[in-house]
Amino acid sequence: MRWRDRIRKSQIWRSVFRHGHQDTKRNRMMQVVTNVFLHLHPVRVPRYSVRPGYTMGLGGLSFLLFLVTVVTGVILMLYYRPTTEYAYADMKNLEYDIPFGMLMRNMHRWAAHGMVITVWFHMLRVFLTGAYKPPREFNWVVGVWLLVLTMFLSFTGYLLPWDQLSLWAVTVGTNMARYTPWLGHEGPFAGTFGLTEDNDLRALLLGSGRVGGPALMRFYVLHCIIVPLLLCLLLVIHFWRVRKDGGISGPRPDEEG
Amino acid sequence: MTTPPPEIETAKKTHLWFRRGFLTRMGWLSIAGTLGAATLALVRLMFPRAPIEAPTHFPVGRPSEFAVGSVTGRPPPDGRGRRVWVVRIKTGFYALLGRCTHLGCSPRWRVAREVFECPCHGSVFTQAGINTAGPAPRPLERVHITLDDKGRIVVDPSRRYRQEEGAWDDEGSFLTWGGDGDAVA
Repeated sequence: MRWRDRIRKSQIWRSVFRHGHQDTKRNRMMQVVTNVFLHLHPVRVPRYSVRPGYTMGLGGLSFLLFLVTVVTGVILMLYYRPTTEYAYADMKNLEYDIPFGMLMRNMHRWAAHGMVITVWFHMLRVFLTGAYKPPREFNWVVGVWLLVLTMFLSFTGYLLPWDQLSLWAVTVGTNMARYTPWLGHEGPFAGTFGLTEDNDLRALLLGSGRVGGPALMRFYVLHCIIVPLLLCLLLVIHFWRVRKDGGISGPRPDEEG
Repeated sequence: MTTPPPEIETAKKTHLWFRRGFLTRMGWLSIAGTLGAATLALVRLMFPRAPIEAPTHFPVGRPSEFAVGSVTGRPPPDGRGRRVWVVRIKTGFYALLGRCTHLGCSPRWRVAREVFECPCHGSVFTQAGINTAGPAPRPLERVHITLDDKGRIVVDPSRRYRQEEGAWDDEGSFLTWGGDGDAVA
């Protein structure tokens, strides 16, 4: 008896795996629908959808880049402290004193840049192939929110190195919030809720009158916890709806070649 | 869900407030109320009662230290917050907040050209603080300026005066002072 068979027939193996795997259509289907990690996968895939030129894998690339930012981001959190005393020094420390710290920071940064690009191109592809049309119109809306959250992740992450570029970019960005309709104290309809400089949308973002310690902490929490959680929630809906709306878009079944 | 007993169906038709419906509504109402109150509390939590900042007023020097026609940048003593530009003209002093009225960058005084210029998007302001070029929509803001009992000029960037609101005539927006460093008062 070969080693493989001997192991497979041992009591230990069988106590873990219970029975063998038969590669039948039914089993392939069961594999997907009974497995929590696979159940977002379609059971069957139409021929046109595996043509690389159709989707160019842009949604998948976006998700891959998101995973890269999550993994590298968590690693960066081990050394980064979001206070005005330490933030810049910790960033430099990561770059020069921590083995692979520079690699992690650069992977995080480039994956983030890449994600913004691939998300935009994904949106363009969906538009050009008409994949926003019914029954997928709700998933288009979810996708637009995913784009917004992607941009907001970029914006909040931009402050964290706490260098001159961060500070002034976020100063400019949050000053734009002054001009938000209704919610900014200098924007259109600013008087509707009687908001002032101390309680408008900009003050909510910054936690004080300027880009300082409270703003750094708020951006950190938004960047590492709140926005990623929201994004994950929408991602689950987004992927699930791709399947539920009949898989990725394509020619009508009667036109399928 | 099981079918409700027939007397419930009858009660629904004959009574506006039958017991089970009332309790259900009260249950949902209390959940909504709790969540609503929690949301309001969360929103309020985002806005501290007192700003998480040091006091904003600070001395910038004695009047005699400033030559007539000079423009002097003075950062807050702890280095946090906006630079204030103290401008000495023949009749006195005013202080301009170093915050561009476009998107909040920090304009610098260009001695050779005698203008304030913003490094971010190129807005230009005259010595008086009036916007003359670039995207800035309104003049720089003046901040409160006064003398303390030690004879020092004290500015307070938390109190601001806007030219377009006519506030540059307000008391506190200008410090009247005589010729070349001599005290008038």
